[in-house]
Amino acid sequence: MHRFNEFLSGYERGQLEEVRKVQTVGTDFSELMGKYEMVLGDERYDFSNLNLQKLVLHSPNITEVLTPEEINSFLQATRDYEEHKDYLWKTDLMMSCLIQNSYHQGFNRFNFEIRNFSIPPSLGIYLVGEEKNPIDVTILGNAVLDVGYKANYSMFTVNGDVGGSGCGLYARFSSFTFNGRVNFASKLERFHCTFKTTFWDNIAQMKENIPPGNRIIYINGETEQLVRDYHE
Amino acid sequence: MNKWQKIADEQTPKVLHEFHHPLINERVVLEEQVKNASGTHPSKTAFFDFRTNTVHQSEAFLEYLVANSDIDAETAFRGVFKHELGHYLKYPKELWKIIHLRYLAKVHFEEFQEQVFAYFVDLMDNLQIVVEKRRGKDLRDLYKALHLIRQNTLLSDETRAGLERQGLDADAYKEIVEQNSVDTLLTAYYQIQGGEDLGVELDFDHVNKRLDHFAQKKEGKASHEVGEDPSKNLEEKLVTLMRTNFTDPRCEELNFHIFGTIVSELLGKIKKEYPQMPSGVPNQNADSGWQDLPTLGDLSQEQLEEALDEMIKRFGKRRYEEIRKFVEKETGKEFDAAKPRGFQKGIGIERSSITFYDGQISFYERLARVMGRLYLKPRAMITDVHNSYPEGQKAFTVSDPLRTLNPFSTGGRVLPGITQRHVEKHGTKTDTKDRIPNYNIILDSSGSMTHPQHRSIPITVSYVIANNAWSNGAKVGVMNFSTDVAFLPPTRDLEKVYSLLTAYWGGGTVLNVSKIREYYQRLVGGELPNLPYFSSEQDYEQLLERMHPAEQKLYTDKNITLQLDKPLKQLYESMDNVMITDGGIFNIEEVVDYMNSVADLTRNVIFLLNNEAEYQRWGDLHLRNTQLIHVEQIDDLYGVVLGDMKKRLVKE
Repeated sequence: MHRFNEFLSGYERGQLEEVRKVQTVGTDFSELMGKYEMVLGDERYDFSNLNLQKLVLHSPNITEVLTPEEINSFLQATRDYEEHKDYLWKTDLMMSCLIQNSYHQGFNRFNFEIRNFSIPPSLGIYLVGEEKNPIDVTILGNAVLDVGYKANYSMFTVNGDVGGSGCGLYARFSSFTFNGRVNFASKLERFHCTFKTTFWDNIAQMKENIPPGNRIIYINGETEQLVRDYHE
Repeated sequence: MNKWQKIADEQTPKVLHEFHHPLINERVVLEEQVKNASGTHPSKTAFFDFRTNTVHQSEAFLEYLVANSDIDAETAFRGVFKHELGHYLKYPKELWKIIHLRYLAKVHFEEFQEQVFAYFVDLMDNLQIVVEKRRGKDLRDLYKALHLIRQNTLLSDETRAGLERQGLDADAYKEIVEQNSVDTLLTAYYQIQGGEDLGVELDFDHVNKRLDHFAQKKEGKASHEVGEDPSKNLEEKLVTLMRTNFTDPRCEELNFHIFGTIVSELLGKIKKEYPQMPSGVPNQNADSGWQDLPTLGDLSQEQLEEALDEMIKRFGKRRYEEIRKFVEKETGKEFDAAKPRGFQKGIGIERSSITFYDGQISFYERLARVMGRLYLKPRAMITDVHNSYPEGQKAFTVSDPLRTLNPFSTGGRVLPGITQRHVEKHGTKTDTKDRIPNYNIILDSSGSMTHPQHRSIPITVSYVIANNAWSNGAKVGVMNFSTDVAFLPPTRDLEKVYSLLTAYWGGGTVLNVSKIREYYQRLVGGELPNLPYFSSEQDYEQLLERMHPAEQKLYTDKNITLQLDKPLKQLYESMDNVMITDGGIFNIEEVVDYMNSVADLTRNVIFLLNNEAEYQRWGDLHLRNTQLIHVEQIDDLYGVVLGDMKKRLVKE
């Protein structure tokens, strides 16, 4: 006992530390990541089980309002989940929910960087904008998969190549500008949309694969040249 | 002893005591100008050397702090020391995190990657200390001093003269730099989080209004919109920082990107206005942040290997491969070098459609290595053991071992030269002994299984089993099956095992039991060299054609059980079968029958992956002596396999 007291004699008890809690207002991002992980892991989210368009437009769970820059940051953070089997379509849905929420709160001009993605998500699915203020989405990188699937009153600019089943499948009253190579592989339906390109070489492909009822425009420098009109 | 050394000797033990004596070098290295060991470190202030766990501080920087602000020498030393200590204790703590963040910075913010990385690790480090009332005081004082210095020196006479010489408006320069100062933004953030005035003057009323608005909106109480004010650049950025939960590790990558976007935007604006800083003017782009953490080139091979081990566990295969390539590029070293192909030739390989992915071996090898090690339980098996037996007698000499003496040869007396001793002969005999069995891994590589080019958990688990069996001295065999099956006889050549485990058939799933039987027969008969054997219908038909009709029946009748002659019995007894499949096997009854046949002798375990319906179906078929384990979540396979293999008992 004596030796133990001797051992302790040199010990000075430290003061208890008073720690302020790190303040975070809203904690939107933190909760959002949790919701994203939940959506990825939840088998109930299935193409066959859900009215997906309703989920994008009126999601009861994903109510966060992020700025366009923050939505892009969120997209970049999802790369960590790229190998999840449902990554592509569930990320598409999340992104569209966030864009739609942000748009409703007055934000527009959404820029997305997808050059670092091995297979980038199809951005802009089911978006619904307004005729006088379409949702403006710009994509930097090659959009391998659908962009603007079933979108309404939206504007998409792709600064990269597009391919696969093409952009704007089942889209209505929307516009798509391609500043890269176009290599569509299907002729599926689009309605009353405008397709623009800055490459003349794309025109033949676009005329062949974009059904009538849509407009095709060639952007020649500063001027726009109508190649095919809606009724042609 | 100089002034700073004296302060260091006094203050270091106090700081270490405050932080409960972390396991670092207790001596702070003071240098006139800090440099890391390789002499390439850019820090002008201080840095933490992760190789030696030592804090290095620049005396010149400490002098500069004291001379240009009201901070005292002791506080300056402690503040810098706590910041550097924080890199070890708080953030980033681990080398893999440094590498990962540097990779993310490179991918997303190439132009400002160094600054984004440096500022982020500083923020994450400082944030956890400035909120501590007592321990954080020195750090808060340090940042208060740094802010004061920044304000006083931003437009010094020298800078103003330099700008005016180039015909630039000095006041406009000051305004641009002030409005886009990352350091001011971070100090303002520390001011809010630390609850102490650090001298930053921003429109905090606007910040508070916006924050209140976000808080109310979250609770659904926001009555009116408080929108962004583009003229209040730093205030808006501060609001974004306040909305980011930097303490949540789950969204660290998201936080990093949000933060990096802010830093890039601010630095980008300065760079846009002043693409090349006038001479004599401090470069706000290049000198930002402490930049006090190691570059990849500063890390040793062992540290890099350990960091990669950690990252392979945490990230998906694609992300890991990207980071590995980034590390290779940055360091000029090679990691996970591609292995030479395991199989140059194999029986029937030219007719098979199996595809080898030997380029993936290194990945799975590393992944399996970090997934844990098993100590396999020996079990009784028939094996050859050494045996000595007496064979004849000869005269005993004094140098002979006494135990060989036959005292009865001379009626109990020992008479040199007359008394006999036994002559021993050595040989082997067949006996049952506890040994580590050989392992036979039966891996499903049909189209429904994850492709080797992705992160396949079944393949990883197979590697873990193979690696551990091999380490315990056992041989490992492989059956890689889909509609066809490729066999590798039990071997000690682990590269061949890895090669076949990483091969992929694709297609449907039919386990050709007849071929497995045939394979074992040929193995026992010594027909198969230690080469892989690839089955095909053609092979099988040719074999049947050569057989007597009665024998053919033996091989084609699905209902008969295995006819075990002695050598075959021994072979089975020396093998443990581990099958990994997602079920859906077309000829399941036949497979179950086969498993039941051999399970009297071997230990059979089937891991059925995430297939409830198949689990019911297999269960109904009554696998008599085979353990069927349903793995509901494929990620659980590691734990289930490791756990099961550890506890498995010998079947008596």
